[in-house]
Amino acid sequence: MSGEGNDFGAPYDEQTTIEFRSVDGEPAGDPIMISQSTTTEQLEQVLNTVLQNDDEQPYTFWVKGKEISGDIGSFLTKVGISSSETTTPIVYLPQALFRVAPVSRCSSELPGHTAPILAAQFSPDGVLVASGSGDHTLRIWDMNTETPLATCEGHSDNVLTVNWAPDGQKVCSGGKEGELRVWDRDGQQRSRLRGHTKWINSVSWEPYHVHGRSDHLVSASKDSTAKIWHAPSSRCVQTLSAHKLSVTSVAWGGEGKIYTASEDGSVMMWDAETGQNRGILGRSRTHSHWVNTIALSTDYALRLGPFDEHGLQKGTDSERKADAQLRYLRVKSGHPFETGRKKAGVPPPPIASNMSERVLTGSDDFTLSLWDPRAPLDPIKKMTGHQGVVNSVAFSPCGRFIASASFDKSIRIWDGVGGGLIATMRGHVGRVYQVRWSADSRLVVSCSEDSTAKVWDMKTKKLKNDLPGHSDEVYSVDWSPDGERVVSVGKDKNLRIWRQ
Amino acid sequence: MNGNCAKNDFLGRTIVFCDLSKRIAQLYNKQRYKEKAELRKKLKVQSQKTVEHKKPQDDEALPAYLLDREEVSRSKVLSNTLKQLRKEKAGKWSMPIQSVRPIADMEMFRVLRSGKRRKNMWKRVVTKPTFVGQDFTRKPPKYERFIRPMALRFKKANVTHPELKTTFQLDILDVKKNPSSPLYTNLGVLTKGTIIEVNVSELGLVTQSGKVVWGKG
Repeated sequence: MSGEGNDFGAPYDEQTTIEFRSVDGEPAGDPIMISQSTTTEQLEQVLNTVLQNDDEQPYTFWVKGKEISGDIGSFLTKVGISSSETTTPIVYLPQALFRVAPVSRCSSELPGHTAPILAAQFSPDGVLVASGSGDHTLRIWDMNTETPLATCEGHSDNVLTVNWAPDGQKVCSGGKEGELRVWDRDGQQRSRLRGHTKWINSVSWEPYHVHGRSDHLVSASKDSTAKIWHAPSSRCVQTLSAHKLSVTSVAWGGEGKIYTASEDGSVMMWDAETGQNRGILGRSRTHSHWVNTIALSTDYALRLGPFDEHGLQKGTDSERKADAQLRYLRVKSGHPFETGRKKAGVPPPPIASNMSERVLTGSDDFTLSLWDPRAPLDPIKKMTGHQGVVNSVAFSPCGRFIASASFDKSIRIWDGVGGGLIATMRGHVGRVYQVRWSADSRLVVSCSEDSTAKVWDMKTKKLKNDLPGHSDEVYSVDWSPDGERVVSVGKDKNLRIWRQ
Repeated sequence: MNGNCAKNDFLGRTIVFCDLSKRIAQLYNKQRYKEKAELRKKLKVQSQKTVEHKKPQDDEALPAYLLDREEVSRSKVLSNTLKQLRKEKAGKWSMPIQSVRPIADMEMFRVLRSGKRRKNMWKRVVTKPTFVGQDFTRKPPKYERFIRPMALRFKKANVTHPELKTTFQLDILDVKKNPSSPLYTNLGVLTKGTIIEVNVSELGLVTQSGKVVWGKG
């Protein structure tokens, strides 16, 4: 390690002492002397040896909140840390083993809807896409053949929301008339949930690891209530009414709590079993204007449930439930990729950690707030910086980063634990509507009013690929769980699939 | 005829009234009235055209996050921006401050008698709120004509953001224009319709200063 740089006769012949630290602050091994010309790849090799990893785990390295790029020497001088005397602590952040290739070409453009498409989502196994449109139908498309599979008619008004259940068998569509309908994978209607009096803003399914089944879901509506439904019996189990204005977004957390965000500026917590109101996030109001979206740090794990990144799930019910539980706990603890030493191919248990599921809210008052629900009086961080309404926020699948899309045409990346700003990504020329992460947390795709979708690279914090081609505003975008495809839908009534 | 009493009419043309005989004056006034009427009509049409056409919400399919928002059709936005620019260039017709009543000197100032026998009456005390700035030092009392009492000096303004509908207390940076008189602007008097500059760094906007139309009343 210390000899490598000297052997090549590198310009920096000086040595510097570093100490690897995990994100919790635990030092990994003793301080090491390395040459200043060491690159991040060489650091990775060193760290893998120190931690005795079985697989070559990729890492990113951070010093004082800034990511190391290039070689250590020039980075330290850029940041302004004198490297000769003191031991520089370097925080290592593991990354996903598998890499998602950035999508660049449109592999097909699927017509079929007769009105603007308002929402689209990949199923948890990545095989199907469901899209809801203004022509009152939900369409299911097969991704293996890139052809339409089924058209689900039944709604009497625009289909506003589309959500797949984590068990991959059902999809729920919410309409402008206030009805929710649950459909099978082949397009057969399973249930019709009536009760709301105004349009549905948002839907969230119960996490898979709670019961090992996807029977319950919660819906947020303009009529200022949220309702918990038991889908198989088409029954409304609980009505959560405490908001004074439209409930814009709802999220079912993994710890038995439901979070609802409303136009009255407050985000309320509810007990999922009993429907009791557990209070508000913040002192009197969460934000000073409408709260538009909620994201949970464990969102991705909850959405996928028992499925892994290849779209496969285990055979038996109990195995699937255990898998979903494990995945959830790993993301929640903040160590989603830790492999460590595997014993006979059994994945290691999740590392015990003090971290809770964090809640992120984006609002019309141009700010986001990061909350720890165990201490709801004050946010972890109030994240300001956007100059327009924050429309969409998303945690990365590893839970370590946050991306926020705003009507000020920019996307911002923040630290998922502390809430500090990491980068601002500009490139869109119209309002940015939605932002989604790739499964390995290295790429971000965003869609905008300017009829393009864009892929952004987390490593360089810059635009990676432009996805032009839509002839009108793009309303929704989603990345498949296996990272192969991106689907984008919008006002021009076509569904576009993008691949590498 | 004395041709020296010349005036500018409302369109900026120089007319010499004394030169006109009665008949010509009548013709002139008639023409002037016609022009004025036409201008009034033009103004009315222009003000109507700047009304933004809202998209009809019923037949438009919008995603859930755009539903409660009032969307303006794109073509109208462009033509409106252009019209706004032209109006600002023309400048004369679009000041909302015209509707503010100008404040008379007598209402604004109180006479302060000075001198051994309280006979001199050249000093004035301002009776309305003022803004003086951080580095303000009084002129020597012997030469001070306008006195701004400390009790009426304000540093902060309550500013309401029209879109967010929340009020913030922001520091005043400067008084830009008082509609009643440039003298009041120099003194920093804050009356209804005064344009002041406030520090909006708290709001997280990019530019340092913003403009507020309604000052303290």
